[in-house]
Amino acid sequence: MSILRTEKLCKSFSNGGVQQHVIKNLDLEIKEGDFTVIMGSSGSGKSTLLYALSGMDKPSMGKVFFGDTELQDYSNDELAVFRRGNCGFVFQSIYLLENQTVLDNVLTGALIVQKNSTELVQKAKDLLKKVGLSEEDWKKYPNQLSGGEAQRVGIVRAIINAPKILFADEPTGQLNSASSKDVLDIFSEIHRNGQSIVMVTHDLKTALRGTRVLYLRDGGVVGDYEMPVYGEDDIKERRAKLSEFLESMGW
Amino acid sequence: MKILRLSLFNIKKHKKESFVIIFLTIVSMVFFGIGIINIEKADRMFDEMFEKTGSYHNIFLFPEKSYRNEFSQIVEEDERVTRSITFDTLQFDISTAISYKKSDGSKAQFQAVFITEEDEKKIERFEKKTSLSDEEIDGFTHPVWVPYYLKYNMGLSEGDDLTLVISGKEYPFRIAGFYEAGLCSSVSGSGIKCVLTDADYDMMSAVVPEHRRIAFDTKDGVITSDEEAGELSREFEQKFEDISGKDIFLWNDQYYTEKLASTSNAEIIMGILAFVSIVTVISCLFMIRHKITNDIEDQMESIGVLEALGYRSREISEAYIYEYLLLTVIGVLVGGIIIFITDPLMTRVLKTFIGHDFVASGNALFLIIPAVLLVILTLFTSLMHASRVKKYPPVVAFRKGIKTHHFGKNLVPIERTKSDINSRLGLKGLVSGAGQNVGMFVCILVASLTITFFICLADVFRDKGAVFLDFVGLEKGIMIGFDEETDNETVMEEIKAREDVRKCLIVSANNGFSINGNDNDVFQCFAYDDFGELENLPVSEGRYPIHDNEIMIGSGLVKAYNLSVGDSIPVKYNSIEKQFIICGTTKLIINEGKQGYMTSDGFRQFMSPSECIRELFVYAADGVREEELKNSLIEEYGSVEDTVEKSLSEGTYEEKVKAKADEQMALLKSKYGVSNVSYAIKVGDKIITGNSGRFKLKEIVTIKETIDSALGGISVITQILSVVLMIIISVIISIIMNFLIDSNIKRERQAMGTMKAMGYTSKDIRKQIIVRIMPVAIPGVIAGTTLSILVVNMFMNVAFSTNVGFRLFWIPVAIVIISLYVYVTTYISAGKVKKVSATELMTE
Repeated sequence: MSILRTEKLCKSFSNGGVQQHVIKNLDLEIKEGDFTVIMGSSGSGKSTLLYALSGMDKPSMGKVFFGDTELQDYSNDELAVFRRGNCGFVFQSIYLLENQTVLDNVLTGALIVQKNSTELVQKAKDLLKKVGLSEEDWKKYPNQLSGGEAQRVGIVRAIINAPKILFADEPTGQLNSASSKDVLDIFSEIHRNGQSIVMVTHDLKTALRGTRVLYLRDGGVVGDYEMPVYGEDDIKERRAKLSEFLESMGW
Repeated sequence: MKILRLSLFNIKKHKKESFVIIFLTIVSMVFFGIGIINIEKADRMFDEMFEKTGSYHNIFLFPEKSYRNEFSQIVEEDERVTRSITFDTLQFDISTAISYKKSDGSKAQFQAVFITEEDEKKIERFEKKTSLSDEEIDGFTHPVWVPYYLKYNMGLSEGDDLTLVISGKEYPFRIAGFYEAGLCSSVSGSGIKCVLTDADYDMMSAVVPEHRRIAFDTKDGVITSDEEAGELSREFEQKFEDISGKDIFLWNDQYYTEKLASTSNAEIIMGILAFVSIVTVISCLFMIRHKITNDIEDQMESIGVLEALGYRSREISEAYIYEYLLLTVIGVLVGGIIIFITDPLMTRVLKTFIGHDFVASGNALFLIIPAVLLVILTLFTSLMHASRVKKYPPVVAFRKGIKTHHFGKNLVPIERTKSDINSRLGLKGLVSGAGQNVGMFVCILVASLTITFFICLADVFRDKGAVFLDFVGLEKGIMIGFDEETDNETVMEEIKAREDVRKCLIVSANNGFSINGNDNDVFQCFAYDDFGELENLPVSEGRYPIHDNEIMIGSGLVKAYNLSVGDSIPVKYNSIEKQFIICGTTKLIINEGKQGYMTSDGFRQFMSPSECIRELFVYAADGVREEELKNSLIEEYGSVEDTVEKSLSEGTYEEKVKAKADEQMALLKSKYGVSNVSYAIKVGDKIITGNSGRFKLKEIVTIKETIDSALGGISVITQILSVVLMIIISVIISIIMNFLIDSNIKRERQAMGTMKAMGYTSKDIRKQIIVRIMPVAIPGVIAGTTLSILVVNMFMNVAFSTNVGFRLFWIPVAIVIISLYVYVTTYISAGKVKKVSATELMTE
């Protein structure tokens, strides 16, 4: 069952009076429960597509369907309200709110959707524990956290509302390999628990966690590769096949 | 040079903020500069004007009956006196004004003193200035030369009628021109000198009492202040009393008193402008402080790069300091130019307030004070805040000041949110910005104080000159003086019974009362049947008189004789002396607070009703305009004064004849004091008869109208100034709020974008901004408006020696209005959050 669908999706930017068509007439369907990875060379429009799919940005032309809901006619505030219950975001630069503690950061994302703070606080604490952050860490401010710790807070903030779909824009882009692995393990786990995920990356290790890899070039999807759920197959074989696919795409 | 380039780059990058700082500096400079330069100018101009007239510096005034020839000898022979001269003037008692009608028919009053040209030339140069030709002036039957006060303050011009009305009789003078007078040139002294021809002086001497005056100057250093002048005056008074063997009433028109009175209004207004500049200076410094803090945070990484390249912290701090010094210098220069351009206009305003004619320009040297002060304050503020750069060595700066960030206790934990997350987040932002909050609180407090001050000032002068009625305790309504032939008791009863009349009050009044045996310190006493009916006489202490042996006295008498409520004092009128108890006091400024109030019964112990002035205050019924009622009363009872002015152009021939006959009778009564006239005119077969008995009213005036025409000008100027300054301060509040919110949005753009990504709408974030600001703004507004009560009262005491004036309900109203204004401004400014988008978080 598709959770997200586009019809003739176009996105262009004006750069010094010159129109740049980043996404061109894209027809795409994302299925519920999938872990979709969007890859492509630098400037291929990966993040642009992610932001258009998530309702953070409006398409220039075409349609975006979230279930049966058409998003392109929504105002900015309507899109914000839509995002509350339906989408979660993990950013490359994490973007934790600097004047708030770890726990406050998570709750700020949650309390705009749900009103029962007692339940939410417990849920936030449980999730923070689950991603390996201790009680002591909850009281810390973002500047007092390592990159990996901060991104784990970012993930908890994104999933606390149990969004229908989780969007991630290069979530390991600023992390060292150890932290990246921890973060990707969290993504794999929540995907196994049924979470639909759309992630943009240019990293092979990260892409391996997905069940579907879309390759973007010149504003369109030029390759679509499907894989079993991470951990259910041989990792070496998985890596080899994905590498082969990506090489065929010119990666 | 490189550092200066960085400053210029910063100015260029933040054009809007730089412009706002320049604008506030300009406003500060203009207000402060205009204030200070014109206070000095008023002071200097008065001295120069006085010097130019060659006027004596002191003039003693004696009622003729108490003057002795030896007095002038005493003054002349005093070793401190350099020159002296004796001359005569005509005038009523001090502060007793004479009514006059202007060319447009409106009425006003002023304290007139009449003097001949010969005597005027004895005391000063008397240089006549007029736009009229000699032939035109020769054509005037009764020309009069008056001081410039009548031109600038009372709005009269050459050729205007100045018809004086004394005891219902008209004296039709015409203004030949003006002259610059030293003493007796404004309402502050014993009166305004009007120079008459010898023939007119003789005519006026029949109705206005003659006074003797001694003008004298002293050696340098003998009198250097108002107080010293008073001491010398008292010393001479004692000598005069020793000679005459009785108390002498002595009035001294004196240079320092005249200067203080002439320049005080102008100086108060200029002082207000300087006061307003405090608001703009504080706002400007707050913005500089806020902007430096924001800039340092925003440019943290650039600071790190510069430091890594070898720039010292001091040099980077200097870039900020130069930036604001440069903006301040630009503001100061532009402000200086504006002051220079508006200087002639301000001179014109000063002329209106001071009432003298002078050509003057501001002393540019005085602009150094506001200019240097502004530069020093900017330097100090920017130095203090730019020095924060030292806290960030390169590595720390690269990490956006991580080491210097001190995250204290989480005072507003989100986990304790009970209801609205937006309010909680707003509150969190509020407690994290202590420095900003203090600055904003101070700005809003001072701005609210100033706005409320001007609201109250505008309220004081809301009804043109009506406030002066409060100052002098005059009843508002229509005042009627009856013709001598009128049976006024009957007419009063008739008027009382009218439907368009709410009530009537009879007031008996007479001059010549004295207390404690001081026969020469006479004052006016008023009597009412029932003081409870009065609507405009405030009691400062005690109560109104109820019994016939009770008197309420003004603060002037309280001070002069050191009296208090409960004291028993002898009250004297002519040869009758009675013991009275002081039942109350009033602080009204009429006759410098020297007046008394007693019951009608108490009053009758001294004189019969026929011996005193008896006037009727008529109050219009609700919904009836005073002017309508006045016309209706004239229609019914006939007024000599108004019939003279009226000519009937419509009606039957018989009506026209009757109207003409009425006009002639009124003329006979008003101009020649004829008591009774009858006429019989044969028109064809018909005989038209009538008599002057129909003129029951001698004088009928709407008191407010009279006051409006005399003092409405100053009221209107003060009101306009109040409203203009109120608008300027409101605009400044908007600018501050806008600047503050704008810079906060810029600084927190990323955090706001993140929140939008989480699902927060622009409305949610707007609400957070409002919650962050209003808890600081509202206490600021409340504190400012409440403090303004003190400031307004202080101002009223300094300016008018009274607290009477504004209505206290304006304080809560101001709190609501200013709070709403701040709210709306905040709401509109916070609308910029709409421009923040989650897509800004895109890393690609």
